[in-house]
Amino acid sequence: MNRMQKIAWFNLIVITATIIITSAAIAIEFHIRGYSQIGPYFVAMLAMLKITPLLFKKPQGQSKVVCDERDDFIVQRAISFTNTAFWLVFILSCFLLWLAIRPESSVPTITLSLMAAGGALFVKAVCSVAILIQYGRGNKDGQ
Amino acid sequence: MGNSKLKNQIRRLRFENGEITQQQLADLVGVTRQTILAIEAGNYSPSLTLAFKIANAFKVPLETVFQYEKKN
Repeated sequence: MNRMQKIAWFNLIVITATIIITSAAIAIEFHIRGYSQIGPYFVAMLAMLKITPLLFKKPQGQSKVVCDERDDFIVQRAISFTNTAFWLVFILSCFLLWLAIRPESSVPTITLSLMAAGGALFVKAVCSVAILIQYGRGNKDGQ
Repeated sequence: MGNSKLKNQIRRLRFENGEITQQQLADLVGVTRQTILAIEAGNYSPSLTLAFKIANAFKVPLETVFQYEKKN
């Protein structure tokens, strides 16, 4: 497993753990107190995504290649796929929201922030999955 | 693109050139062993630069290492 795969796995684990723990915390708190105040703060676990450069450092002083043109190609293709998927999901969610609340209604301003945060999570998760799938498939490039 | 395939002779050339390993070839051309493995297996088409580097490593012309094959 190379550095790129390790980072992708780490991102997926952190995102999944955050979603599960935050949802559980909100549900438990809501069950006990009737409202949730502390639960959403567990989202802060996502800050761990920023420590990947420290956890998976590039080896120093070694001649061995860590990342080459194929790795770049895989990452570029994953980013391209993720951007397409994001826009489709974003546009779809905007229309679904519009259909759900009807045109004459309005949404709280927090909805936009939540959509932006959710979108960022979606991008990170989909990009990680796309990277892992390509490495798993041996990078069949449709030649 | 879907009806063509890039064949290669890397495996044969490695054994004809002192049985060098994939890692040794990777170090010679400046890529990872996984990339050499993917090229050998026909799962990845290298860039022109890398293709020339591989050919140079074996000291043979490019077309000795890679052959373009059109499928019917």
